[in-house]
Amino acid sequence: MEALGIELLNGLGLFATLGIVALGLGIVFGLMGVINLAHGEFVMIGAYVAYLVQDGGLNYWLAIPAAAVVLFFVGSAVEMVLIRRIYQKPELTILATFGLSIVLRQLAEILFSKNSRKVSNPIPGATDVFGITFPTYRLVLIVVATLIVVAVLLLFTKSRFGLTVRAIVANRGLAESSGIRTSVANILAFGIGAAAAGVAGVLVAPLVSVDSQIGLSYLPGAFLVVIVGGFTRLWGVVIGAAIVAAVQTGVTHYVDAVWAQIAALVLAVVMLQLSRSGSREVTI
Amino acid sequence: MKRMTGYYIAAIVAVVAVNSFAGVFRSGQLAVFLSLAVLAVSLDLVWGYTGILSLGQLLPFGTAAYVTARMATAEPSWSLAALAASVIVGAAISGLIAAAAFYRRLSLVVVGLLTLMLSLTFEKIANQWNSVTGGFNGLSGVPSINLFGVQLSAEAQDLAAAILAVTIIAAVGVVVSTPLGAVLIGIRDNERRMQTLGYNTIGLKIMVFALGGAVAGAAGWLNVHQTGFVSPGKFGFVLATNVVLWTLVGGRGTIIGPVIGTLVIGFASATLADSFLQYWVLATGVLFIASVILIPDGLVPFFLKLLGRPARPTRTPNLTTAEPVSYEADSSDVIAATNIDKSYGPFRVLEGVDLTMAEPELRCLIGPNGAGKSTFLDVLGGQQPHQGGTISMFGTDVTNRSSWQFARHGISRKFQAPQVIGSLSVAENIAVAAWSTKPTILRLLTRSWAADVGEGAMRIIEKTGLDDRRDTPAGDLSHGEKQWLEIAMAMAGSCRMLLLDEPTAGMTVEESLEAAELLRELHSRYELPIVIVEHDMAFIRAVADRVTVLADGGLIADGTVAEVEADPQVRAVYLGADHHAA
Repeated sequence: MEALGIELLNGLGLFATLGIVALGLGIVFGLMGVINLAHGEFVMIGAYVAYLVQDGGLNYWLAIPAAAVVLFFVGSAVEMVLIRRIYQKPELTILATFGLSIVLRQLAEILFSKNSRKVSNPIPGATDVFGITFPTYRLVLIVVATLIVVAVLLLFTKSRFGLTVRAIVANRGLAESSGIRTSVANILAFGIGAAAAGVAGVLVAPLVSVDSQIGLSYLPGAFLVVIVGGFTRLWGVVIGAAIVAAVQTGVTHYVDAVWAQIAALVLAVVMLQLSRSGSREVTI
Repeated sequence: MKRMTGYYIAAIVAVVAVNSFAGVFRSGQLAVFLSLAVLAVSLDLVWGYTGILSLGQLLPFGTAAYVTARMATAEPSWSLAALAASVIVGAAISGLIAAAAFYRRLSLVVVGLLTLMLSLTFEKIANQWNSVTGGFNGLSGVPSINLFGVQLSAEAQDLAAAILAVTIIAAVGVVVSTPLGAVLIGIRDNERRMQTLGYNTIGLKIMVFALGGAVAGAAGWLNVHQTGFVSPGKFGFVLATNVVLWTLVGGRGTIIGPVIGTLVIGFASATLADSFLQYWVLATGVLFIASVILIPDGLVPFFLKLLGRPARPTRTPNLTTAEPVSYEADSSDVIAATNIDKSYGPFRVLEGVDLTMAEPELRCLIGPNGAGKSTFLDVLGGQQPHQGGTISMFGTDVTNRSSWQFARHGISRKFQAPQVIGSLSVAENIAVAAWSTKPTILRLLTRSWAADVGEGAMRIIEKTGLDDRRDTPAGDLSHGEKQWLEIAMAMAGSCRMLLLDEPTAGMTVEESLEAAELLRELHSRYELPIVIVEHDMAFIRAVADRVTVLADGGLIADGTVAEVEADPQVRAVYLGADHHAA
């Protein structure tokens, strides 16, 4: 029973982190139809921000706003310099962002060397949850990540900015001719997606060894979430994250991690065959 | 063909020269990169010629490499059997991926993502599945190629592998220079047009993917024999992306481009990576971005453009007039569509529409905007599925068949905006349309660059001046010329009925009257049933035997032009009066 409880909490932790990472991808894909293969590297930059903040003697939690700001600017810059030129050609965005992911990884490796860095746990110790002992930080992670996901969802569904974005998704041309500056909305959306990834990087940093390769490990899961979630609305990302987290945690527990990845992939393929959503180019 | 033979001989001479003079190390390196060039060419086949970016070309390649490694280490003389196994396994894997992707018509982006996931998962499985793949360390000590019991020496292996690689690349080059290549370009440029010509484009794309998988499998076989080992690190994500880079930089859709890309970048990385690994990888990333932004078509097409030459020289197939096909006379209706229902989601476009044409006639379909005319024509041509009702053409029930099956039944369609294949010449467009009567891969591979074209199509190209422009790429034609080319394409194959959506859109008054005359001539000369959606009443008066009026998704009148014009309900719909009062 206790093992199951721990797996449940593990699954919740995976759900929360996958949720944030996938949310950024979902925003960018939903709004612009852009597959951003460098999204994992935004997570990596966030983790390095956490390292730098702590290394500079500052409080770990300051890294969350710091990473959000840094990544917002990185994301906006990427949109303005790179993505803007190739919206019309989806395959080129895959290739360009792939090139970008290589560049960011290598820059990190050159700046920080191949040695991994350690971000120390801001809340060491464990807490009893219904009789199960679980690391306190990971409980906090679940709560903070969930709050961030909810905040971003509310931003996109309830605010005026969200309405603007949804108008652009529904009909870009009409939105533009109704006086909406779609180019600004693109920059903001890309920036917010990147900021979410950066925050995810800060949150996972104390749990992993921070190196230039960590982005790669988040990307497949996040894309599976977006596929399973069905591209159609951002809430789908939450449902997708729940399903993928459940499958991965469950299969990892009962079989092993490789089968967990295969199972998630099979699930994604099945979802694509069942739903019509994969054939639509751009939706939210 | 002659030029290609020249290239092939030159490449073989170059390979022999390297092997004779450049030393063992360089010769071995050349053979390795050529085996990777074969992989890049297999990607070019699926990406350059069907337009679908697959990041999963490594699956057939890597699987074949593991199969070969296991077979050849178990028994060196099984080398050729391993080649057969590699080709079959490669084709099967890629065919399966393509089937999963194309049957549900997944978007380009989703296919790209899915194949990327497959590559990542493949690497993980290879790492984990110790008993079969040797896990992280992989399998080593794979012997050289064994030809009919003769184990090749290291030097012979270098030469043989390089020559085999060049030969496979040349074979792919031959495949894409056959009529099949033109058909694949047609699918890449305008899949809908190819479907309405009668090509089962989904089936063809799956076959091309399978062919690409077979080539990638052969590349895996070559590579593992050449290098002597296989491991997840070697066949992992890095190679999956490098092969895309080589193809992108070299120029997809050219075959030779990816080969050049592989050799140049491959040798550069082999030389530079030792001393400046970090910066070299950084440079690859920059190269990716730069080529996407600056030369998205790749180097070979870029330089050809500088020289004023197209990336793919168009051909001018010889067009001859086909013997007219005679169909058995029977008493069944030409068109019998009954009770057609069609909705887009909750929005009902057609409700219980009936249309019967007993004898071949020239029928116009009119109605106010939003009446459902174009949708009805789409349903009649098989371009749109419909929810209720039945359609029978020439006495055969064709309800809910696909677009290409309608076309094979002789139902030819012209779209409102002209749909031609821009990068093929006028003559190639017509030939591709004519070949659609026998569209199997084998026939397309073996047939000559000539076509027997329906007489109606030949008359159109003679009368409209397209005859003089046979070698012009269709993308360079004027709007009116494209309209006629498309009608000619519709009539080039086994056309028994024409469905035209606003054929005179964008024509001047004189041009549309000429069009009316030509359509009447085609109709009476070949007893060809024609259904036309039109707005232009002058044109309709000039051509129509009969007019059918649609409004709000229902049929409201049917008769001669005069009858319909006098109909109070029709007047009400067009003039806005309350038709109950009228």
